[in-house]
Amino acid sequence: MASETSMTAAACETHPARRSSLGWLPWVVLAVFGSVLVAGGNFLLREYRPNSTLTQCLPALDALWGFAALFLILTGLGRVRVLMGRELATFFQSPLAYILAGLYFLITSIPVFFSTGGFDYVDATASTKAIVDASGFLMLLVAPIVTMRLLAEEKASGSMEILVTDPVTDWDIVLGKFLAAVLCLVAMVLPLGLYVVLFAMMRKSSDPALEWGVISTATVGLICLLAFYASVGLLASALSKNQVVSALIGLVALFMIFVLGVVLPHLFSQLSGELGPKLKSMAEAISLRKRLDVLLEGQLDLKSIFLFVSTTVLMLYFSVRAVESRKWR
Amino acid sequence: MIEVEGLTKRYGDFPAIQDVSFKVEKGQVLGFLGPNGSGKTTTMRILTCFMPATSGTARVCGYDIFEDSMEVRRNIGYMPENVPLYPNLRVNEYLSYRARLKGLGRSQRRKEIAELVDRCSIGDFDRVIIGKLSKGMRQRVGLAATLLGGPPVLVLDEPTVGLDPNQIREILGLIKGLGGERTIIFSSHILPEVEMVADHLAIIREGRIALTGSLEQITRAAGGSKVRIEARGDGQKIRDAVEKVSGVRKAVLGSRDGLAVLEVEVAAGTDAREGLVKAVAGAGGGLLELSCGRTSLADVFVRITATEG
Repeated sequence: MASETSMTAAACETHPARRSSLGWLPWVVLAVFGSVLVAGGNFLLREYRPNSTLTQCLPALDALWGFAALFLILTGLGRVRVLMGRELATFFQSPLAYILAGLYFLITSIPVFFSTGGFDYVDATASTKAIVDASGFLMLLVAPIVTMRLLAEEKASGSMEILVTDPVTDWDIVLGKFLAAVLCLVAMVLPLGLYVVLFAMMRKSSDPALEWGVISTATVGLICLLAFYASVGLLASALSKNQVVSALIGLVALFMIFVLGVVLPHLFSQLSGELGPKLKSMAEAISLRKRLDVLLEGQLDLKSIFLFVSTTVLMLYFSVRAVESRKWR
Repeated sequence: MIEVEGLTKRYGDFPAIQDVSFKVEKGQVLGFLGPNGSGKTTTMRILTCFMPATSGTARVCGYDIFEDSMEVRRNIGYMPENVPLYPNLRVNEYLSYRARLKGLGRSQRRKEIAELVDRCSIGDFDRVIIGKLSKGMRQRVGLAATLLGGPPVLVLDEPTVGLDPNQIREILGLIKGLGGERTIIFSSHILPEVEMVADHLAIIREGRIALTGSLEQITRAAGGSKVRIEARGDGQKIRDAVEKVSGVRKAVLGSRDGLAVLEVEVAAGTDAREGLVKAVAGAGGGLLELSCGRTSLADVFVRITATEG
């Protein structure tokens, strides 16, 4: 063992501080440096190429960079990174990941054919929307399966006891697992990008141009949705020891959120009087379905993004409380 | 190093432990003994900051377990019962993961893992997937992971459960080797194990500490000693004489092969052997054998945990 130093605060000898305090810095520097680059790029594009496709996509690209920077800063926390790494390794080691990803790719491909009527005429923008739409729905089923083992397995095997008695906080645990889940889901969606590339290549000069603005905000919407699904799935996993039970909890919760988002506005619109439209607009304001639709229209609606982000953070907070519940149960 | 004062933990109305207090000095090995369900694991979970106590305090390395939970966790290596590991990882991957969680830098990580693989005789198994390891090997990996980062305090919950006798001996040997250098609490309900390794004992019964102290103190205070006498002659007469010797509490007469066999209980802290020899001779007996034995820990344990109260 390395030489022991006596701490002034401590009555007896403890081991020397071994944590490298610099661990966080490179990631933050990277995030800040990247942000400066992105801001500069924004300025230059707006100034010199105000009409280019890239400029149209700027708001969405900025939002994507925002997510990436947040991710960098969070993974900069060494313990979060370690936990996330193990989770990702476990996920990509299991055949389940590839089976799910394959099935997912196949099923989401179906709307491409329906919306395009084969590949004769490609309305790429409409197809992209259809894909994001279908992904949003299909992920409802897939996300809980991806997230079910995150905390439930640790609790069932008892390794939770080791995890929470190691020097990590409950937030570290939840964040590490959440980021891993989001990365897994994003990795499963990524192959769909191939279609967009395909559309771009197949476009004839007579066809309408690809609306990159719409495609980029749709991507932002999809990532928001995936993060939200991951957080709900994680909470479900924190609530049960049994993986199947936690998958079911997640599935039912997500399905209810989805259905309420569709059904409530419709229901309220049937109401007569002044109350009906008011309630309808309220229900639509918090309906994730409607919020996603707004993003699919190619409008980078900050309210929508805020709704997704805040509900995700709320779910993570509940997950932390659920992990903590060992203390007061 | 570890001071526990009046810890109480209730699950609803059920008190898992009540007013548990004990102290462990630096370098001591404390055997935490008690029947199953007596509160050993609960106490250890509180000490390792897994869950808080309902009342009472404890300090580890001078840090309060509630206020400086993070510092306490940095200074404790905890191995839960049954050593839950991740079965899909390889041994070296797991050790590296735990080392990084504990905040060890790259070079120190490598050095410590190499050292511990050697020390816990994991040897060639360091690239094997944990799910394929035997129970004993898994225990060793768990112990190695617990030792990562050199925590000055080790808390081991039933480290020998489910092992075969050879593996038990190995693990106990390892723990014994760590004593002196580290402060160790380990729980068990198997007495010979504790006797082999621990220098101090805390016996817990129905959530309360029934007895604490060094091994010597406990056997002496609670047990006294036993002397066995084999003699030729009139057993009854010898017994009467023996019972008069000062310090003798009780003598039970038996016989074997026509010889008188006396089981003599001697009060704690007295040496009655000389008096016994004289008494036997005085009663006209021919002393053939006189052997002393400490009351075994098992006697003490059974008496405290079963009969008392």
